[in-house]
Amino acid sequence: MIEDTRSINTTATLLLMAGCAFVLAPLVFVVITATQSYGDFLRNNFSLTPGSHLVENFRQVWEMTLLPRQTFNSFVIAFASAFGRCFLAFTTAYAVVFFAPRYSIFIYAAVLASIMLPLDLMVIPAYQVAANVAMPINAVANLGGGWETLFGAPLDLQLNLLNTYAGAAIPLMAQGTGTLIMVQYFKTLPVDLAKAATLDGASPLRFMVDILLPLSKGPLLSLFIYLFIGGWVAYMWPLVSISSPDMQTAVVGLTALDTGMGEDEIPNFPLQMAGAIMVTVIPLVLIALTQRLIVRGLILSEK
Amino acid sequence: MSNRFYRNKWLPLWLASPQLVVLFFFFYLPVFLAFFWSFHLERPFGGGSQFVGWQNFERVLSDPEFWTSLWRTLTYMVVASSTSIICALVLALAADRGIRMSPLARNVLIWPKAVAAASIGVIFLFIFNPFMGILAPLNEMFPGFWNPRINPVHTWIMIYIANIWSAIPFTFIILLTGLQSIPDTLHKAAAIDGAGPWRRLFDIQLPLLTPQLFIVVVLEIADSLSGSFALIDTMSQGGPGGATNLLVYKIYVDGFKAYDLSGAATQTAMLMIVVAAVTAFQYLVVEKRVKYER
Repeated sequence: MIEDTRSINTTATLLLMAGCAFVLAPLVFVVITATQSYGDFLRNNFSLTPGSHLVENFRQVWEMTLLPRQTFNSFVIAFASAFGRCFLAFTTAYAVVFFAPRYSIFIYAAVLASIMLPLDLMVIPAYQVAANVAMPINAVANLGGGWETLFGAPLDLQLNLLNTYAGAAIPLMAQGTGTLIMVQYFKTLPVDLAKAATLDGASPLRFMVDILLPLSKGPLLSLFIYLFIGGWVAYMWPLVSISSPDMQTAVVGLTALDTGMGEDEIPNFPLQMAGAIMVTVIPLVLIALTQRLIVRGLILSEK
Repeated sequence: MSNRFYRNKWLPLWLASPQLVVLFFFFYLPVFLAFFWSFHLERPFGGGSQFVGWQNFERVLSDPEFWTSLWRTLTYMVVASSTSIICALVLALAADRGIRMSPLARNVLIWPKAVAAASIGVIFLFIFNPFMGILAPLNEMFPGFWNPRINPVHTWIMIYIANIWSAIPFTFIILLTGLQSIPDTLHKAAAIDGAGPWRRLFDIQLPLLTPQLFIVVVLEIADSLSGSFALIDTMSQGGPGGATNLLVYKIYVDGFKAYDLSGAATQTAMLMIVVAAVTAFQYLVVEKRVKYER
């Protein structure tokens, strides 16, 4: 180091310890509480003595609640939305970076505008769209009574996406962050890549699939993990777009977890905390295993 | 943009069309509908819409609850983003010292990223439960010492702590990366010139960190708005007595619980304008002062 900085380093160590303790404390409390039985918990209130009921609590969550099914739903929705966003980001970024026509600037601008307003700010109109995706087709066909004069009745197509996986996952894809990241990445690639592929007789689509896709494996994977976790922890859109508990995601399911207690009783907190572990364990393991990728994804999204 | 090699005229449009279709349905159409409904009323018993001019805006703007909620939302955006950024900045500065604790801290401080805001809401609601939680013993000694269900100040403290907890990873990582890309030679040169650690913090580290600080502020402000819904819905439901009824939550209640489509759409339209204005202000005014060259 540059100078004698022992006191600064001690302060820094203490600060980092405090930060880690702040982050870890709630997680430790959750795990300890999840090991206690409801009876223990009522007797001792909040205590840091682990009980022996962890397995029993998990069994109860597994058998008595909808959380296992909802965890599966979370997996499907998070996977579909992350995969979809990676696919859309990849093709759009390719179109924006590698093609000469100037109108692609407008495409890029139209995509970037979506970063400004997250879905959570417009759940009310987005809910209306999901309730009948055919609405704009109806509106155009019925403009000025056009369809009615031709066919006798106004066009009324119905396609309801509420309570479906598609309805939960597709709106989560309407966000341009992934495209921004892929565009930044493509711009760092050598200019002559496409030229060389063309000389070898590859069409633009073939170049995209056989050369660009393998080259983008790293960034796409970190983007995927980042977006998967984003889809997993999404709360507001699943809450409004899914009303049947069978189709609900685990994060929303946890907040409405029925612990088998009546309205006036003290909730079964140990059971609830076991549920919290179940909801969190998949993304947490994913983060622990793919530290580097996540960090790279976070840093990419900054640019 | 010298990569623009292919000359195909329509292929790029086809390649981008899947994303454009998704954006049309779940971004541009909802934005349009929010403005459409803010100028229309739903006819009773279904059956379409009726143009009512500025009537919805007059109704919403004359409601004092809207103004308190908007004011609360702006306060929340400022306090929530500044508290979480300051905490993450202090931790990033400490981790940048390259001490024995740094690698462990880098690892642990990312964990909250995996925990949904709604889940941490449920967890903190239990930990801060006035009768069963961590502060229950204090409550027994001094009755009324802590009760977030009744005292709005306590509710806000709880929400802000939860917000800091879940906002740390993102901000911490970006700031730490920024700090580590500051060349060591600058530190050494300044130290030789007699600049102490505090002087170097304010004259080297923070000025060179402005690009990262800027992006973190932009993202945190946007995030605090949408993240607040999950925390409020799980921890306070806008209570006690409407004290934590932020605009995002109020719109949800007006639209889905009170079935006031036009009112909720009008407030959505106004919230969109506010957020777009804040973002535009940040990019047009604040970004000019950010130093990008090193």
